[in-house]
Amino acid sequence: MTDATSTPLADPGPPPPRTPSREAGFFTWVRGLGIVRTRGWLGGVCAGIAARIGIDPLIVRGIFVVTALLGFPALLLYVIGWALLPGLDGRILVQELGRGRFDPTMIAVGILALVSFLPVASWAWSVLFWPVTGALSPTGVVGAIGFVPALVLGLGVVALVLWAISRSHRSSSSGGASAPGSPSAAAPGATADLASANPAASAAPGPADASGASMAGADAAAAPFGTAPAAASDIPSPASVDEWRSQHEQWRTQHDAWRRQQADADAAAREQARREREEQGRAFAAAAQAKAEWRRRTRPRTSALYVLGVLGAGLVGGAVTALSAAHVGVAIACASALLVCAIVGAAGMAVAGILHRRSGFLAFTTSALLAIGLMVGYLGVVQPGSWSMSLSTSAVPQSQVQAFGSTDISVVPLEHGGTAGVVDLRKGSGDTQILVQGGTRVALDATLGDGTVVYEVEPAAGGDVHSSRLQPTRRSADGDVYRWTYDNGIGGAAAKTLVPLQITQAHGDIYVVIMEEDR
Amino acid sequence: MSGQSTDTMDAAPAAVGAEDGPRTRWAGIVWGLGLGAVGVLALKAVLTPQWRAAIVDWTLQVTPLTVVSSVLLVLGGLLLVTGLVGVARRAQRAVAGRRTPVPVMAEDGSSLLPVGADDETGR
Repeated sequence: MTDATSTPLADPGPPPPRTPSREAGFFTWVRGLGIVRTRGWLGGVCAGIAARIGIDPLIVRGIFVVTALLGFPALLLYVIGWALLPGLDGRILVQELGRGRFDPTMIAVGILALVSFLPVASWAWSVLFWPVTGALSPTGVVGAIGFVPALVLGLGVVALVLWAISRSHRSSSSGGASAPGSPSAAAPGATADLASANPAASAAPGPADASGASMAGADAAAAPFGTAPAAASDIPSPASVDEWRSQHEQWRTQHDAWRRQQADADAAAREQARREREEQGRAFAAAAQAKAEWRRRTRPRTSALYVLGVLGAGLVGGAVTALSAAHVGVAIACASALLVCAIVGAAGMAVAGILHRRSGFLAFTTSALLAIGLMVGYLGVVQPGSWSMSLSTSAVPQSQVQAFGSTDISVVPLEHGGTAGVVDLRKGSGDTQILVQGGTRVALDATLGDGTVVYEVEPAAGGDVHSSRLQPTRRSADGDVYRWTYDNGIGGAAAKTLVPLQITQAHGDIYVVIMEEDR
Repeated sequence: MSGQSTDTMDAAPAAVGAEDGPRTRWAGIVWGLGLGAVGVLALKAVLTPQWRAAIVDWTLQVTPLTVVSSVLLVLGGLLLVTGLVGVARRAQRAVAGRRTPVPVMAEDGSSLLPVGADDETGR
């Protein structure tokens, strides 16, 4: 058995077959996987995987998006799948490119490949939540300028990819009439061509059909030439040596033929298995194509150009809205733009439905835009503080709403004195701490649902802290109203800065800490 | 091959002979109108000062009850639209079923072919 692989005989073998190249072998293997890109949102990779596993494509897409957002290089894998997996017509994009045939879809693949190298996950997070984080910051104007280009850039990339896909669909539908159902280019020819592409493979020769004589002679063939004669005869006469040689030659020819047969059988078995896999893949592709055609006929999708048009209209509408609503505030303008975009998308969905077209991608985009628009709009209107919010008095009025959480207000003197901007704080539940520094006169106008106002004075020279609880000035329908003024002038002089505070608080107390200063 | 491919497909092609061509996509229409209505309302809320003030007031009076009620409201809305889509689809099927006579009685044999059979033979 072992000598079969170590036999150094030069085997001329059968006529050299069309040995598949290394690359072709790889593509054959890929085809053997049975995953065929079907018609999907982009390249149909997710749909192909879903069809192969037998689950809904949306599940695969969902997993894909979630893993991509979590930082997994899903986009890169998608690009690889798009380039390497065969389409419904059995063509592999990279293989076609290697053969010098350019498919316009490669443009889309290339763009996506470039995009896949960007830090999409963190970028997506920041873009998704930028309107929330950026618009709420005091310097949100910068964000307002940056938001529209980001929107334009994102939709532009989507549009470019869609354009490339629509081009490829057009070109394939015009030139690929005979493509469906045709076997892949890598399909092998007749079985006669199957050959010992790999003669040194682990051929396991079955001894069933090998005669005992040939098996006995195997050792002689494998061994150095001189051992056989020793077994054949004690007196090596020239005639017997010649006879032995001819016998041996005959045996060797038989043995070679047998080995070739074994190798051929082995290769044929491998080839058979490969062809069966490929046949399965082809059958699956044909079935998927038939299904896709049936779906296309009975439930066609909106064309890429239609989606493109709707997105363009949404973009125009959103941008115009953002420009006209910019005076209201950055977050409001962003939310309005997103909502207008979503409204246009929703109208596009309805029109597509009337036109007997499915609108999967459009529905997805519209839902996403609406959800983000609602979130940004709500946060823009309410402008909620964080769980722990800090405010500091300044010359300009400030208005804050905080549903839950504590607030720290730092009352500091203005550089040139005068009256500071009103701090208008409206709160749901949570306490408020007010730290009053020297040189300020605080004028508190607070309405508390169920809390109290406690203040303490910390003398500049140290000593006992004086603490006291205010009594409500009056009671209103909203709760107890406290009007209270305290002059924290430095060194006994009157304070130069007046700080009005207006606080409406449903639940929670107000603590005022007055820090006295000598100078 | 033809038999195989039609058999391996889901049962839909053979079962719905009445749906030979594309039909009106009621799901797209209803969902589109629903999402559009939500979008218009949200836009009005965001751009009208009184509505903005009302939203702020509502937020400050949020209690667990209002949160749960709001979540239920959203879920109910989604279910409502889904139900409407189902009703529209059922009505559409009923209309299509009335329009298509019983297959055996049909004189035109071509209309009896399951969807997908014609192009399979043509391939």
